[in-house]
Amino acid sequence: MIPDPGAGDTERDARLEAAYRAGAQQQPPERLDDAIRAAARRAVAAGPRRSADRLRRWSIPLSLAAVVLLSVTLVTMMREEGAERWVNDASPLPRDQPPAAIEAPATVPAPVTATVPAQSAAQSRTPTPPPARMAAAPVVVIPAEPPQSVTRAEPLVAEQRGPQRRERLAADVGSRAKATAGAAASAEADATVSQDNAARDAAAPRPLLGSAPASAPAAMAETAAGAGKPEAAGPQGLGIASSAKARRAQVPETLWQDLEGEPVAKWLDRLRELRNAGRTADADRLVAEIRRRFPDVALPDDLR
Amino acid sequence: MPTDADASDETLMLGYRDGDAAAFDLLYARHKGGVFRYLLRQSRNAALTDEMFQDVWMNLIRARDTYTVQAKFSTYLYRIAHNRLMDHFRRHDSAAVSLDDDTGPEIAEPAAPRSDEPEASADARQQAAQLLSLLDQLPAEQREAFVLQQEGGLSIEEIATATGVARETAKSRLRYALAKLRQGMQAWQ
Repeated sequence: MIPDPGAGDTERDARLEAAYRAGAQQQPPERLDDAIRAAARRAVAAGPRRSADRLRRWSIPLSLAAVVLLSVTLVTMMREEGAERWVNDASPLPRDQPPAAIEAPATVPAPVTATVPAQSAAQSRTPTPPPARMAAAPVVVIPAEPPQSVTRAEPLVAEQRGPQRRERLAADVGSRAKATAGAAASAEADATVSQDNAARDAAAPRPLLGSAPASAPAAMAETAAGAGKPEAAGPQGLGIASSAKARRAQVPETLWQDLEGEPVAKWLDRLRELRNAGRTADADRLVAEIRRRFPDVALPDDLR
Repeated sequence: MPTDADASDETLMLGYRDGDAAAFDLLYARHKGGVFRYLLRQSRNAALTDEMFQDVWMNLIRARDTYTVQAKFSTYLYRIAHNRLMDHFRRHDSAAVSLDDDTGPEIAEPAAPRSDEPEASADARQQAAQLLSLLDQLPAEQREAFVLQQEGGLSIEEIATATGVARETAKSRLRYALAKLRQGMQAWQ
């Protein structure tokens, strides 16, 4: 019968311990001692496990850094690609338009480029070949019947008037009044183009935009005939935004185009003329230009 | 840094981890006998003990890179030894380990002291032989608890940690072992 180990029992017994120590004298053989000590020294001498351990300790930070780097690279690439795609989307005409159509302006209306001023048109006379990727794009067939929901005859007429006026203005830069009228007409044309773009965006699916701005065939024919010059069908890769920007940049230039290289007094005279004529907007633009060109000149109080 | 002979086991092991081979020699000298006897008592096979003893120390050497002081070094070392034993018993499906057996066989009657030896030394030797004999008859878990206490100097908590059982289990095993050994040694008191 085994006695129950009660609470009075201790976990140590000196007599038992002494008896155990007297009998427990066994030791491992010396060959084992030597082998183990030698193995321990070899392990210390080898040492690569330390570097492996160090590598293991750095593995997580390194992995994180690699992931972050990869992510940043991907995001950057996607952003660049996205911007490129946005630019392409903003000027879909050359992408969807077959090269043959570019060479045959009569078949492709260019209502927007028809409003580009003569200077820009001259730059665009040499048609820029579309990029290889664009050239490889599939040709979109222009539908025989345009959608009835869009009427473009009126805007196209207005746009058609634009280049004629612009050409006159370019020929007679000395006439500021005409230039101002041209600017006004250009602004009007801009507004028309914007409305036109909005209507086109709303009415037609995107791929057809480039290939079928011919929502009104009669107007198309009129536009093409009226703009039977290369600039009419010019490199539409310039896009709506770029042509509008060029026109906007053109307007203030006419105010001081003849003042290039003149002393500040001449500029102030011109400014005074504008103020006297009540052309406040033009005067303000000229003030801004004077301040930009002659930052050290203080404007007289009556001209501010 | 020179190895300090009075350094704790944990310091020596950290020193060895950091490349101090002399620290290992000191550690080995301190613990080789205890580990060897622990394995010998539990396996009761000299050849097997040699093999397992070498494995235990080789495991320690391999694990040095990841060593951190989380417990007493002896607890850590005997845990390695315990695991090595369990591996062996599992592999050989040995009946030597019965994890739920806390009763064990009845303790045999102690052998009578021999009268042809000088009294004191003969007494001590016979007591030791008797104790080892009684120890061999204990269930493996109880024997293990007692040997870990004697050889490794482990407390009840440390025995529990080294053998992977609850503290109360370790305490119970140790108490049963002591009770049986005391009972068997009564003739010598």
